[in-house]
Amino acid sequence: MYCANCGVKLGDAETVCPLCATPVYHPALPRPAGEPLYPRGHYPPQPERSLAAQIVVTALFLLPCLITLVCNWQISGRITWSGYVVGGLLVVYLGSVLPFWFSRPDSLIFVPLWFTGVGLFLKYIEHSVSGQWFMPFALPVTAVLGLFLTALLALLRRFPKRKLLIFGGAFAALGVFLTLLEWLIYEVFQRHRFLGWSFYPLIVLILFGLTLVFLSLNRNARDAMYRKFFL
Amino acid sequence: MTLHDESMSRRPAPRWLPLDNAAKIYPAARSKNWSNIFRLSATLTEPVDRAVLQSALDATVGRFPSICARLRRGFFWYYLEQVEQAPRIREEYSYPLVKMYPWEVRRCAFRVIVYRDRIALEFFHALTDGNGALIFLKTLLAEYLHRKYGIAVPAEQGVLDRTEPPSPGELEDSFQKYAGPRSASRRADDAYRITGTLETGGFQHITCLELPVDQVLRKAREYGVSLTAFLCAATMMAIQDIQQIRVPNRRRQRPVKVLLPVDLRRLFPSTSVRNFVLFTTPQIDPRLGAYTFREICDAVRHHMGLEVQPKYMGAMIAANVAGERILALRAVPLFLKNLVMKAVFHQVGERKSSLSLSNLGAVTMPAAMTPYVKRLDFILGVQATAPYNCGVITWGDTLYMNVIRNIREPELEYHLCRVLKDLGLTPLVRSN
Ligand SMILES: [Zn+2]
Repeated sequence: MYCANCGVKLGDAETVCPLCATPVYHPALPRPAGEPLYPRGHYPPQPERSLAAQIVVTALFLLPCLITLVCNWQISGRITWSGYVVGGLLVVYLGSVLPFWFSRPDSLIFVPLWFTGVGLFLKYIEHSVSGQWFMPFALPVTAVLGLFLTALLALLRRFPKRKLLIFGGAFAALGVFLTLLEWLIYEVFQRHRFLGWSFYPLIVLILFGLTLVFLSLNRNARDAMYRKFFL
Repeated sequence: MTLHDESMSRRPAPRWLPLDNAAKIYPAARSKNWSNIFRLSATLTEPVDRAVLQSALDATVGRFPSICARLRRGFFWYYLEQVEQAPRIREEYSYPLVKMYPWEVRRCAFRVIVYRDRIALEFFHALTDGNGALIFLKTLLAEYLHRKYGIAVPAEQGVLDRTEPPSPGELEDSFQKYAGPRSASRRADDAYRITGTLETGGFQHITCLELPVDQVLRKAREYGVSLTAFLCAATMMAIQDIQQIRVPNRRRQRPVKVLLPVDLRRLFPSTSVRNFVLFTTPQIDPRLGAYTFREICDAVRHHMGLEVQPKYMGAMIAANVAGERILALRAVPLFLKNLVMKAVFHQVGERKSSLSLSNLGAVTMPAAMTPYVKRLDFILGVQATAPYNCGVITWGDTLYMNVIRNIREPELEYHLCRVLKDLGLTPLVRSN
């Protein structure tokens, strides 16, 4: 039989045309029965995802947590220094192991999650040492860094072809962030004088960022750079 | 390469061989979801007798210590170790070229699969290339037909004598022997690659185009090219059309390149049954304008004329074996080599072509065997990062072109058939 749409000659076992998906049918002609080249409708089993590595690594994380907690409890009768150890390990675990429990971890979920974890850990430390630095300093810094990184990832995903532009903007923003960071340190911790160390990276980062932006907008310049620096 | 065989001790140590030069990339390039495999199958006129085939296989494996082997890790390199026992014959129950997992390659790196009247062999590419596999298939078929029907098959036309021990020439790494005095440059541009929706569950579509070979040959002569060049040009024409639809802006298009394996046994006097194949990559650049079919044929013909000859191929071999001859590189531990080779493979190796089109040519067998063989199929596994590949083989008066893909859309097949139809060739299409 021939395909009514694209006109190729079809094997007898074809029920739809493999090329254009047109059903093979003619009201006046009975369709001859044919054997397909390969058995149809059976898929080989896909192997289960092995979670052994994740379980072992999790156990390796749990072990020091338990040991420090027990030691701390035995010695002081309450949780003091072991809280920092456990909190720190949890933060590391959150960033490095937890995503691997999922078959397709989404960085847009795990990056903000990790920064939230870091924020909570810092809040815990502040609470334990009765400090006054979380609200005015640690929270804004972690929040801005977290938002910055999440936005960067989201932009890279949304506009995969505009990497140069996005990174250019990111470098410039990083420079501004460092300056703001220095100003915040000065304000919050009442340093004696404003040093201005952050202006050096600010200038470098902004210049570098603007260069990337320029290259992303100017195709000829980009080609010229590639010609000079290809590996 | 010499075969390491200890016949002095009570229990002989397993025979083993280092991988040949082309094979070295394949274990390193493997990933969780992909390994480089291919299939060669023969359909007989009667249903296959499994017991007889198993006994024929048991008798044949000893003759091919480099093919009936498994892949093992050394500290510095992978190596092949002969399997003591032939693998069990399997039933075909699904699509061809189901993924070969690392643990399977460690036990035995090839499969024997039976479906009704068809005997199929699937090989991990590190064992051998299409032509080496064809010799193995013919020899196995000869043994099977001999045991089943009692016919006497002479050891000729690619059938090896099962009672003889393997000759050193069959086991040599011919790349080492035929490397030219100078190395060729390997710089190339990235090629256009077809994309699509990945099939779920690892399913792979096979679309087999069957064409009368005399008609194809007549057409190829009309355009002044060989049959391989003709099919290559038709495929390039189809890819050019697809790219024109997908990327209408010519300035943003990429070169269309088809990787044509070159059987080096035709250029050098090698009898190796291991890998001895290199590639030539005819290309057109649609950024310069749309090519007519005749222009593509000329581009392919001239490209092949330039590259498919012993001097140039010798230089290509030299470039490939150069790294292997540096002691400092050889002494790098295997896992580091793997990291580097994987990176190189994905950055350089595959991107340089749109797909490969491997033509094993017209197969001949001893006259006693031919009445029993109905058809042959040659299927390449898909590429690691691109959805298509294409294997061609000719048996009798029919040319079988097996197009494999792991995406839903049969775009290339559709356009290829249209190109062939415009040329006045109507393929018979079958699918799985
Ligand atoms: Zn159709």
